[in-house]
Amino acid sequence: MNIVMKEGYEDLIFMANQIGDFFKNYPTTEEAVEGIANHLRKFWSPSMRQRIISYVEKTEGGELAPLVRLAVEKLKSSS
Amino acid sequence: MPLRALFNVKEKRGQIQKITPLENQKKEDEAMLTDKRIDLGTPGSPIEWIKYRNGHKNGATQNKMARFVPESEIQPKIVTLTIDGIEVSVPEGTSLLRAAALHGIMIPKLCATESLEPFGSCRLCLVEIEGKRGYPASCTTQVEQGMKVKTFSEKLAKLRRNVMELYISDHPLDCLMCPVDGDCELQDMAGAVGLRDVRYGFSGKNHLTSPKDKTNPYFTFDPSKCIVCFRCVRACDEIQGTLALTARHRGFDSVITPGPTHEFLSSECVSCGACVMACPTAALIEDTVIEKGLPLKSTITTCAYCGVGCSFEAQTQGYEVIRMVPYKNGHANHGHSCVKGRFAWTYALSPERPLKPLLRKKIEDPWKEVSWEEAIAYVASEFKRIADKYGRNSIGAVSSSRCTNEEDFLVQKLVRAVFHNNNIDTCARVCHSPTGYGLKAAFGTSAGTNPFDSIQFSDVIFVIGANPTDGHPVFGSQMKRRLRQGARLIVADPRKIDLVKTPHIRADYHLQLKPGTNVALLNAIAYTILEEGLEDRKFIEEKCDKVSFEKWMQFIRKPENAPEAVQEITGVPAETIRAAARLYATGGNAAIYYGLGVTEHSQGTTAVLAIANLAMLTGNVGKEGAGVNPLRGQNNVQGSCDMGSFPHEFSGYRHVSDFETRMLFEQAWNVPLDPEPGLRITNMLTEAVYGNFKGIYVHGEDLTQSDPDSNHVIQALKSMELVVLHDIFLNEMSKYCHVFLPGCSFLEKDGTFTNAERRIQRVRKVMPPLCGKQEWEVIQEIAQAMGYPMHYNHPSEIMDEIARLTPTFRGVSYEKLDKLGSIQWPCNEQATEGTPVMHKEKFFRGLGQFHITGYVPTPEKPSRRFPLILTTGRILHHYNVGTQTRRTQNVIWFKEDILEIHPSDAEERGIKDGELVEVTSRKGSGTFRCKITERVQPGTVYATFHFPESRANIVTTEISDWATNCPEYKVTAVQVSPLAKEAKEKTVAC
Repeated sequence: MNIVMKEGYEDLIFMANQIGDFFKNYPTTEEAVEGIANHLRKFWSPSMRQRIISYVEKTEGGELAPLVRLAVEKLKSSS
Repeated sequence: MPLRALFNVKEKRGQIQKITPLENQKKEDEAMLTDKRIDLGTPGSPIEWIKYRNGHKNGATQNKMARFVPESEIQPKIVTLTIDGIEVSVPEGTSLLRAAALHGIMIPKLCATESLEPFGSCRLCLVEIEGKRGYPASCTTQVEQGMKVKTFSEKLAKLRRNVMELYISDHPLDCLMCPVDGDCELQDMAGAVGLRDVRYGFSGKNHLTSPKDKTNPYFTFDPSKCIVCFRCVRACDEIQGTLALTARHRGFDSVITPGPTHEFLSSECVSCGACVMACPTAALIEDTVIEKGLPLKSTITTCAYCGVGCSFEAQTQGYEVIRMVPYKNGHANHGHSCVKGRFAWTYALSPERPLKPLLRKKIEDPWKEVSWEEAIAYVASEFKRIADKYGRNSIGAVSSSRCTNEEDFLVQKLVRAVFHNNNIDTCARVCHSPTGYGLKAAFGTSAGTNPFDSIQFSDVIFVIGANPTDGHPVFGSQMKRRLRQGARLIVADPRKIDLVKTPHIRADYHLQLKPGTNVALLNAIAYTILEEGLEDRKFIEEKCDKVSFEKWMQFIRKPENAPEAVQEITGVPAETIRAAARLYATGGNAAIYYGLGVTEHSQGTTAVLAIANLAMLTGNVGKEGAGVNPLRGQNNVQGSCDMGSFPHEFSGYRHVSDFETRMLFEQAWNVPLDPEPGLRITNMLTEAVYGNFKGIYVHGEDLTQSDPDSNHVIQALKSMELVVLHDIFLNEMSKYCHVFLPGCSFLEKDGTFTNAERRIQRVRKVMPPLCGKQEWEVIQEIAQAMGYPMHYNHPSEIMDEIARLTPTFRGVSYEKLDKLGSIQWPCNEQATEGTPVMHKEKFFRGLGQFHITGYVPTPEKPSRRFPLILTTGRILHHYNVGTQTRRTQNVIWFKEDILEIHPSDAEERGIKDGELVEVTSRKGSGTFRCKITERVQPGTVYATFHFPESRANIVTTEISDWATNCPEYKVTAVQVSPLAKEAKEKTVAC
């Protein structure tokens, strides 16, 4: 069992990538990353945000879309 | 206007005491009679009047191309005439019958009633008009300037008596034993015309021995009491729009009959009750009245089924409900109803309702009845113990869109102020949460834009992902009325819903798209509008955010959004998409109505945003006949969301991180509040599986049936140490609960519901709570037991607090609701009586915001193993998971869920019509009765989800909307196969 399944990250990864899919059509990377990060800030509980940050910290976030990974990094730096 | 005098004139035995609003109005209202008796004879509402003003005098159904003008644009022409020597002034187009009635002069009548177009058949309402020959019917004769009318004369009296004599010669004279004795218009008219004798005897040809039709479970048709006035036929035509009734044969042999089978149960009748309401005699009468007699008291309240929010008179003898009659002055329904609200209320009296709290320490233990004190003390102590042991975020609650605003407000207050977290969510999560997100982002408010009545000004109606005639039947009838008058119709739905082709209605375009491709379709419509230069530039420049529009325009103009590119994705031919786009953009006032077929997708929020884009692009927001109008599934979806039931926002849709708002609530509630969003239902359940979430209070909701992936829900519930269910029935979820708190039906409650058009309406207690406590009292007592001082004496005090803390509700109070009948929020200093049409001058958020809405296919894809796409929906006779309607006689129409499959898909699988089939998905399988039909296209199957034994919720996936986690109930890859013989036998035996 990999760390994603073991630590129960798969739901959060799936949801975060879905959010990324919406924002990926935004004109610039900055706008998309800001949109994703803002969505996570406004609608995810602190524990969920902490878990996705923890996932990126532990695994470099390989299963996250690049934009989402950037957004989580942004979230981490602002938290 | 001497209406009061009119009411008093009609006061007599058989009247009902009407308990309307406030205690201090009771005496005044007690003088009023049933609405059936307050009848001005011909239509007179503003919209009806406008219809007359626009020249549609012969019945709406006859005017295919009627064009409506808003009331505000019409200067009424007043006509003055003399009736019986009294000078009267009424708007042009008023009938003589109505003009007289408005001035207290009651002309005898039978076939006329103010809810129906004049018919002129009974020959009772004859009058004499100076200078005119003959005796014209006053119902079909309109007022003229200077007219001199006599309503009573010796000649008229003789003519009327003769007519009544003929009626009575073919009518049983069993008045004293008749169920409507004292409430019969024929009886009234016999008295009014002074009938003393019937010269013809009863030995001639008559209908007195005609057999009754008792097939309908709720009402009886007795042809012997029918006077063939056609009120029932016209009600079915004009109000309901089903056209199920007609008259067989001619002349004296005429008999009213439901087509095509000639008996009500198997006919096209939808049991809305409009015919029963319209009947002037006991020919069509509720079985409860036959059985128990006429009601004596009436309380006006609001239906607890769908989001239309019909007003009803709960008519009672003591505390016993005899019948529910749609309230003529109801602002949402205008006296109409559907089979659920009108008849399917008996679940409230079901013996299956537990009336005492139930408790058990472990879910394997049997339930034990306990006192309220013990139950509340246990709940409170357990929540405190769990929060102490696992942390304050380990507990939470789910509130219900079936409950009142006041109850929902208290549940979120319990969580925020007493549990000290924001782990509050509502069942709107699984239906319209994308509406909340999408419309707030685009327009600034999480709500629909227009009232239902606004549809009378629509030129184009675009229905997407909704089935109003089944899901929102009363509004569906209103929509059909407008369509029969000539409004154009676009339907986007994978299935041929009734609106696509129904009597006198045919959709101009049916965009029969593949499930899950709404966003691609909506983008292609927008692409066409832009490419062909059909957008409303003036509206966009004046009312919308230019930057967001420019960015969106760059996106939408990409070739991937062209209809020619999208037709492969959606299955809708490019030219059809283009034609529909042209109609929507150029057909006049265009209104969009949508439902769960839009929201319950992985891109539900994106679709709502795309709909908002379309409306802004064409200037179809902020005016009558247009707008973006979500059809809410449950009675109080709008209200539960308004009340701050989502984990990220307070009432009035203000984020918990907003400092000023939070301070407002902290000061009012005298407690610090969490500035971070809490957990949604799905997050609570996941955290429970991980061992981080341990206690939940669930109000009026069945998580195992309503939420996706039942196995996951069950696992989560089993992982918790305290699961409290507060509901009227033990349900599937109660198998995993530790405490069951008995709830109240809407008949036992005081409070308010807010319907799909933001209309706040009173719910009034008709009978005392069977379990001893109203639900707001129980929530309050839990808070108190946990040490928080929560003290209200009445739900009106809760509404007062809501008004103090919520800007859009600032002007709402029970007193004002009682005075006005209903209020559409925002109601505040700027709009003291509410706001019917939103965003008129400008958008609530300032400038309308366009959003980029890229199409992202759902991850749920068909495969060789699961080649079909299952989509789900509800039917007319049942409501959601069926907890209520399954406990009524509505099961006579549908006693099990059905699966619709295209003939080619059925043939390929060897499936025969009417047999049981197994539906298997990647998540599980369920069993359905199969219906082979071309309503669905090849590759798509459709199932209802009202019966837990079919396990529809086991079949659907855990995929949800990207923004809100609203489950994707509308797309599941499945295989359908004939049920194995032994399984079939087992299912039938069950």
